[in-house]
Amino acid sequence: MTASPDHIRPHLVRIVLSSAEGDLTEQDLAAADWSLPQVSYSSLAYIRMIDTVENELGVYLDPEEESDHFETIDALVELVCRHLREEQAADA
Amino acid sequence: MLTDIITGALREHGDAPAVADRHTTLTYRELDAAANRYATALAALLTGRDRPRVGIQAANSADYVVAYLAALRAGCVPFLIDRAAGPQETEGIQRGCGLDLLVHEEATPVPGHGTRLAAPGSLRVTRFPEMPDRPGLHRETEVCRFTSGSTGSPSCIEFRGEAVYRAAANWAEGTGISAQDTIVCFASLSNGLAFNTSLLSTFLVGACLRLGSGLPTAGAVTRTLRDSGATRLIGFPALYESLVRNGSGPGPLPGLRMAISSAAPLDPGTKRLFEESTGVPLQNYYGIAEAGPLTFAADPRTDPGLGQALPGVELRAGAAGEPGVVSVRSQSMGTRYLNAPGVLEQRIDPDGFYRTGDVGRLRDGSLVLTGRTSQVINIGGRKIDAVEVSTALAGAPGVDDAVVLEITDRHGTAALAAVLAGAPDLDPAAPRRYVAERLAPYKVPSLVRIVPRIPRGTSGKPATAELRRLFDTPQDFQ
Repeated sequence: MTASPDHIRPHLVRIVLSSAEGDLTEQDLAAADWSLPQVSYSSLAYIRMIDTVENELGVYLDPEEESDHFETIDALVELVCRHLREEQAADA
Repeated sequence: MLTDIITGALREHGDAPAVADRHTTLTYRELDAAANRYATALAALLTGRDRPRVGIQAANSADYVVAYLAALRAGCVPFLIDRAAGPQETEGIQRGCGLDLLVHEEATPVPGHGTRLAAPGSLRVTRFPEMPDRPGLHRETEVCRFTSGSTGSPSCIEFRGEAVYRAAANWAEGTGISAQDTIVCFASLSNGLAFNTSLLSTFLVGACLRLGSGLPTAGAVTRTLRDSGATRLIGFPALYESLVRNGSGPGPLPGLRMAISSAAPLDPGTKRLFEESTGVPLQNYYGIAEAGPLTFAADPRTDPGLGQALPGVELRAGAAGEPGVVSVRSQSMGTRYLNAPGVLEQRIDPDGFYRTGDVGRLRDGSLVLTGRTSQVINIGGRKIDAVEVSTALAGAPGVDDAVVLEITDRHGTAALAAVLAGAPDLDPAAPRRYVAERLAPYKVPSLVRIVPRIPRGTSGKPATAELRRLFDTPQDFQ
């Protein structure tokens, strides 16, 4: 998986939307400055989203230590890209 | 009473590990010393106050346990408050229950009329002015916890020390906890699931309590289990759903002997996949906030229901073909609601049995639930009072009427939904934000529909079947 934000961002947006209970659209996220708390993203949706990121992208997101990075799409993209780069460096 | 029991347990088990979180492990001896230091600090902050009331609102951590034990040791009454409570809820609890002090996290929305004080450890402390007209505590009350209630605000349950002790001791005896156990608990300590299955019961037998905080995702839970050498796992259904979301489950978890989920409906497919993947039986916990832990199945893979009554518990329910309201008499019963006088007492019959909101029957002594009499909504193990949420929604600008209901979402999971009466151009995001500013995040409806008026029957009750159909088709926020 390429660790570039341009590549990861649409992937993450799709996962965020599909993990919500329903209704949530990309337009809603954009209108909320891409903030998940602003759209009242539920904890169950967060769990589904993190599981899916781990299952599809193969990176571990730590809910205890990294939750500050879960609040916006931008921060989430940055975090996932960082983990992907770390994994790629470790594999190299 | 609790102080003596807990102090005895801490001193009996000495250098064994007692409680751990991600960063800290305290032996029984260290926990005892830390609680002593914290109790001294608390006492200095509360000089002159009678039976001080100390709210604790924080994520699971070793420091949380230290603060809880210290409050008891300092002669205070701890009030365990849901960490997720919103600003309005926390202030309502502080004023309604007359809290003197709140132990909290840096980010907790603390009522503005309190004074932040210096305190030891990672948690913060805020003191509030004395409230001479606050409701009086029952003379035997030693701990207070909260239930969602059904009348628009959380009810504060008062517990005698004996009831708290019996809940823990009966659970430990009935489920066979031993000093060799390491119990991993991802449920919040303010919740009955964690409070009754993990906190005091662990310490009574000299076991180790490993606390998880943060979202219980599969990755986090699996790592915690493997790192801690867990023998028991405590969590809500969402934790187990997460563990099997990859389609194959977490695989063998060496050492784990028992997994316990709350009594929120656990998908049978999740249960089966977890058990097949791990080889570990997954038990449904059945307890009532007001009455403590109630049943346990020795082998949940063959038990027809939620198990037999725990020691100190008597159950009444219907029989085969004739389910009835489940009533319970237990040694761990709450005394009353501090902030709703008489309401709890009304639900206890002359024989001392508390009428739960559940309907079921006893089959070979095992409790089988078949339905509910009350309308409390249960989302992933969190009980939600529909009245509280609909009242908050109805206060939002542009909302004329509101009905809150539980629906099944596109993931097959229970979700909180709301139908609002308002103008067609009402933005559903606005009332959701309005509620989010006042209540806990889990009380914000995930799905919202706008209608010109709420359809109601001749008695005035909302036509819920008609309202549910509004959610049959996914819609964008209008």
